[in-house]
Amino acid sequence: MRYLFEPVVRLMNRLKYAYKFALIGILIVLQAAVLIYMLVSELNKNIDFTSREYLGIEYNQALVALLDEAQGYRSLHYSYAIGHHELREALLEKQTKVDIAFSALETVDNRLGSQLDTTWKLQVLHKEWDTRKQEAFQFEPERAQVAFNLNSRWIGEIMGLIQQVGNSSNLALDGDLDTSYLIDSVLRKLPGLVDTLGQAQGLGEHVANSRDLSIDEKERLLLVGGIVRSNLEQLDQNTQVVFRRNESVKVKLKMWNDAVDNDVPIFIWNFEQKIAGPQEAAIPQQLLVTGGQRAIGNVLTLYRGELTVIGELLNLRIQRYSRDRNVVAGFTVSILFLVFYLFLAFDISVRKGIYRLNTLMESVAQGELSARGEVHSQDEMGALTGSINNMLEALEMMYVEVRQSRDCLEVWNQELEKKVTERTASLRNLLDHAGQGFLSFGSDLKVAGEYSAECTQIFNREISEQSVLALLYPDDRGEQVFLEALFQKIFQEEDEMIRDTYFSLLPGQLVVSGSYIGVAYKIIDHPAGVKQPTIMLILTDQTHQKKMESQMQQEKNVLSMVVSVVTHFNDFSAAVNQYSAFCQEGLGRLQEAGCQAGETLITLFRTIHTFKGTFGQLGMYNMVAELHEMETVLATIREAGVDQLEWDCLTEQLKPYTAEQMLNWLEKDIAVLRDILGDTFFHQEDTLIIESSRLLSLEEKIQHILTPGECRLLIPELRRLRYKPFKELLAPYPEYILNLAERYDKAVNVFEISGGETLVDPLKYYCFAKNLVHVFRNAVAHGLETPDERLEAGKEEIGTITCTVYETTEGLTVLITDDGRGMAADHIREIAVNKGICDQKTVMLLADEEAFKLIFADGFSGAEAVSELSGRGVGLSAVRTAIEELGGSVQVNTMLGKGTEFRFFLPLLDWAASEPPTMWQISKPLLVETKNLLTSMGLTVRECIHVEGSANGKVLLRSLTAFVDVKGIMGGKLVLSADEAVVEHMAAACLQDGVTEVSKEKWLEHVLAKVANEIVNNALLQVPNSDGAVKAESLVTILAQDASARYPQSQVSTWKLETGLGWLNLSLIY
Amino acid sequence: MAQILVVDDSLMMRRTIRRILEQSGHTVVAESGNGEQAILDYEQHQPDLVTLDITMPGLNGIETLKRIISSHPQAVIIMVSALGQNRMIFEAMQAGAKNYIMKPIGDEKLLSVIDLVLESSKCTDIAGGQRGIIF
Repeated sequence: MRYLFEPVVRLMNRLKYAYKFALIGILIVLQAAVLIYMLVSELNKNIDFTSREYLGIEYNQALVALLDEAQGYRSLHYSYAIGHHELREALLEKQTKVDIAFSALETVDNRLGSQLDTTWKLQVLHKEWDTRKQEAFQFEPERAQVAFNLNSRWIGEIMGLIQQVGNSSNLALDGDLDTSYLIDSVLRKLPGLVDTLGQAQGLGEHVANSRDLSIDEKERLLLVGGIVRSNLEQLDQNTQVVFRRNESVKVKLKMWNDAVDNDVPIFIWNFEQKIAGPQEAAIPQQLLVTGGQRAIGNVLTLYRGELTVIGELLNLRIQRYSRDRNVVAGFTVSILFLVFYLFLAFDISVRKGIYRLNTLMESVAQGELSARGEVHSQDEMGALTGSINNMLEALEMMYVEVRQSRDCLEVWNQELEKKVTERTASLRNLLDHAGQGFLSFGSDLKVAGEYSAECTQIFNREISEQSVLALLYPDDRGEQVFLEALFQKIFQEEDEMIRDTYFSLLPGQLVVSGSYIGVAYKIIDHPAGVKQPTIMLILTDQTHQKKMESQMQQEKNVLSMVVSVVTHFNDFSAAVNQYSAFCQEGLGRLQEAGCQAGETLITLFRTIHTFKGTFGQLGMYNMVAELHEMETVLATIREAGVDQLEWDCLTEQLKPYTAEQMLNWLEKDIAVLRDILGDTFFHQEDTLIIESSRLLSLEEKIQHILTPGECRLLIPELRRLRYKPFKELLAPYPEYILNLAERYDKAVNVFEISGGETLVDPLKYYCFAKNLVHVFRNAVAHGLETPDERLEAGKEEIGTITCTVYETTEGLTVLITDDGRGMAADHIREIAVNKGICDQKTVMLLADEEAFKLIFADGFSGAEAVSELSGRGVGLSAVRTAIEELGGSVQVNTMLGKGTEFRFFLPLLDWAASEPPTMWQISKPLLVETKNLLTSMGLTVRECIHVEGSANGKVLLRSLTAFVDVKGIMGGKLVLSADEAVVEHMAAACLQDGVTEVSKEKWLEHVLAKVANEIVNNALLQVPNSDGAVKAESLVTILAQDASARYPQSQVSTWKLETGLGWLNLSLIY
Repeated sequence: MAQILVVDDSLMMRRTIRRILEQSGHTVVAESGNGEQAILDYEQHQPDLVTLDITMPGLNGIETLKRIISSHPQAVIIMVSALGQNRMIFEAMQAGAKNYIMKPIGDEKLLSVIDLVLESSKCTDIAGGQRGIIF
C-alpha cells in the first residue's frame, strides 16, 4: 500500500498547499466538465435528431396535401381523358388546387429544403407537373390510360419525395417503437394505399362507364384491388401494434382508423364486384365513386391524423430531451458549483490554517514567543494550533525560567568572577608576601611577565624580560655560559632521570647583592604541543636562615667529623700523617723534582684535590673548605695556561700556602676534635683512647641535633667504641673472692673468669655485674665450708668457685658455681615461711627449682646472724632486680653437700642488634596512660574504638587539638583531640589560681597541651631502648571546629575514647 | 647485583666505595688507581657499572670516560666528583656518563644513584631488545 502511494505522496510533498488544491481542483472540474459535455451533447444530438424528424413530418404534411390533390387530379384527368370533356372546368380548377398545394409545399420547402435536401427533387416534381398540366388537354380517349399512367408515375415521384423526406429527416431511422410503426405507415403504407385507392377509384369510374372490359384490363384492375387490400392489411398490422402499446395514440386515431377499416374494404369489394362480379349485381357507378372518394378521404384523414400524432409524439420527445438536458446540466452544474464551493472553502480553511501557523512559527522563530495562533476550526488543524499554542505556552514559560536561570547564573558568574579576582589577588598577595620570589622562563631564558613582588626586592629591580642567566650570575660570564648550556639541555631532555640529574647541577644557592638566595627549580610541563615547558624558580632569601643553619651545620659537621674520625681512626691518622708529611716537604720536594712548573701544578692540584676528598670523607669540614679554596686558586692558575707557566710565577702565587699555614688548617679541626674527645685521643698513633663520659655526651648531642636516620647511622658506631668485653665487668671478682675467703678463713682456688669476650655496653650491665658481688659473697660466706669441714666431708681442702660466660643466640649466660655445702630445698621453704615471704601451703606446692628461687625474695637470708658482709637479706634480691631490669632470668641449682650453681640469662642489649623502638610501640603505653589520666580526673572511658589508617592520611579533629612532636631515634606526631566538654572537665580537675588572667580558650589549649605532654612523656618512659634517645615536645594546640589535618605520606592510627562528656581522639602519625 | 669497577686515585675512597658496595651485595670486580688502568680493567672485566673519579693523575676522569664510551657505547658510568665540579659533571654527562655522585660519599646516596642508573639502563636494554625483535 505504501509503495502504491509513494510516488503520489512524493509528488504531493513537493507541492505547496495552494498547488495541491489547485491540482486536485482542476482534475475534479475537468472530469465533471467532460462528463457534462458528453451527456449534454448526447442529449442535444437526440434533440437535433428528433427536431429533424419533426421537420420531415411538417414537410410530409404539405406533401400529403399535394398527394391528395394529385390523386384527385389523376382521377379527374382520367375521366376527362376518356371523354368527359364537361369536366374541363373542374379539371382546371383541380389544376389550380394542385398549384396551390405546390406553392404551399414550396413555401415549406423554402424553409426546410436545404436541411432535408428536397429542393431539387421538388423542382423536378414541379417541372413534371408543368408538363402534365400542358399535356392535360391533349389526350385522346384511347390514350386516357397512358395519361393515367403518366399521372400515376408523377404521383409515384411524389411518394418518392415522401420517402426521401422520410430518409433525410431521420424519420426512417427512428428508433422508438411506437413512432417507428406509425412512421412506417406514414412513409410507406399510407401513400401506397392512397395511390392504389386513387387508381382504383379513378379506374373504377372508367369501369363503371365501359361495360366491356378486356381480360387484361380486368386482371390489372383486380391486381390494384389486391394491392389495396394488402396495403390496408399491412397498415392495419402497424396500427394494431401501435394501439396495443400506446393508449393515447389509440384514442386519437381509433375513430379514423375504424373509418378506414370500414370504408376501404367496402369500396374494394364493390370495385371487385363491378369488375368481376356477375352482371346482375348492379353496382351503381355513383356508389363506387362516392365510396372511393370516402375511402380515400378517410385514408387521408388517417394519414393526416397519424402525421399529427407523430408530430405530437416527436414534440413530446423533444420536450423530454430538452427537459432531461436542462435537468442534467442544471444538476451537474449545481453539483459542480457546490463541489467547487466546498473545495474552495476547504482550501481556504486548510491553507489559511497552514499559512497562519506558518506565519505564527515564523514570528516565533524571530523570537516573538508571546504570539498565539487563533483556533478557527474544530478539526485537526484546530487541534494542531491548540497544541502549538500549548507548546508555545510551555516554551514561553521555559524561556522565562531559562532567562531567570541565566540571570541567576549571570549573578553567580559575576560573584564567581569577583571571587576569582579576589582569590587571584589574595594568591598574588600570598605569593608577593610569601617571602619567596617566584619567576618562570621558557627556553628563551627570559623572565616571563608574571613574577612575584619578592623578586623585585631580591634583585632590587623589575626583572621582566630580563635574562635569567644575568640575574643569577650578573658578573660571571663563565657560569652564565655553563647555566645556559645546562638549561638548554634541560629543555631538550626527555629522560626524566637525566633531566633530574641536570637539575641537580644547577646552583641551589646564590649570592645576590650580599644576600644568600636559595633557589629551587621546578619544570612545568604543559600539555604536549600547547606550549613549550617552562622552568619556575622559587627564590628564598636565606641570609638569616643561613646564619642559623651555618651554626647548626657547624655543630652537625663537628659531630659527623668526630664520629667519622673516631670510627675510622686508622684512616684518620693515615690521612693526617700523609698530609703533615706533604705539608712539611711537599711543595719543596715538588720544586726539587725538576719537573716543569705546569706539570708540578697539575700534580699539586691533584694532590690537593685528593686530600680534599679524603678529608671530606672523614667529615673534616674545615680542612675541606680550606683545601677547596686552595684548589680553586690552583684551578685559576691552571686555566691561565699550564704550558707557559714559570716557576717564579707559580711560587709567587703559592706563597700564601706555607707549610705552617696548611698545617694550621689541620690543627683547627684537630683542636675541635681534641675539645670533644679529650687530649688522650691523640696520644697514641694506633690506639683510640677516649673517655667514656665524652663519648656519652657526644652520643647525647647527636641524638638531639641529628635526625633519626642520621642517629641510626652514627650512634651504633659510636657506642661500640665504649663497649667492653663482658668479662672486663667481672674482672675484679677473682681477687675480691680471694680476699674475702681469707677473711672468712676459707680456702679458695684461684680462678679466672672464662669466656665473656662479647662486647657489651658497660653502662647497661654495670648494675648487674656490681650486684653479682652478693652471689660471690654468698658463695664464699655461706657456700664454702671451712677447710676442716671440707676434709671431714671428704672434699678437697680448697674450695672451688667458677665463673663462666657463654654467648648463646638469646644472649649471654653467666654461670657461677661453688662446690660448697649447698642448700636443702626444705630448709629454704622453712625460712621462707618463717620470714613471712610465703605461706606454708604455697611453699609445699612449689617444686624444688621454684623453691630455690625463693632465696632471691626480698628479706630472705639464709645466714643465722647478720654480719658485716652478708645476711641482711637484701643481697640476692638486688641481683634479681638487676637481672629483671635487663630483661633476663635466673636459674638456681643446688644440692645439699655438693654445691650451688647460679645460671643467669642475660639478653644482649646491643643497640644495633635490637631494632630501634617504633612509634607503634608507644601506642600501648600511650593508651594506658591516657586512660589512667582520664580516670584520675574522674572521667571513665566507656568505649574505645581503634581505627587503623584513614583515607589520604586524613585525621579528623575535634574542637580542641594538641600536637606533640616525637623526635630522636623514632619520629612522629601524637595528636590528642578532644571535645570541648572533655577539656573543660580536665581544666576543672587541675584548676589553679590566676587562671582569670588568660582567656578561657587559651586556658583550655594550655590544659590540653599539658595533658598531651604528660601522656606522651609517661608513655615514652615505658618504651624499652628509648632512654634519652627520644624527645617529645609540644608543637601547637588549636581550637577549631570540624577541622582535619592531613599526613598523606604517613601512617595514621587513631583511638577514639568515649568519656561520657564527649570524645577524645588519640592519633599516632608516623 | 651488579659487577662494578671502582676507579679512584685515592686508596681510601676506593676502600670506602668498595665497603659500601659490598655491604649491599654488589661485587667490586676491580679497583683502578688511574685512568689507564681503568680502561684496561674495563676491557678485562666488562663490568655492569663503573664509578669513575673525575680528578685523577694521568688520564683524568672525563678523558677516561670518553675512551671507554668510544669503545663501549653502552658502558654505564657514574662520575665521582668533588664539590664545585658541576661543569666537569656537565661535560661528563654530555660525553655519556649516566649520573654522578658528589663526595663525600654516603652509603644511601651512592646506592640510590647506582640503583637508579641500573634500573634505567635495564629499561633501555629491554627497549633495545624489543626493537631488535621488531626490526
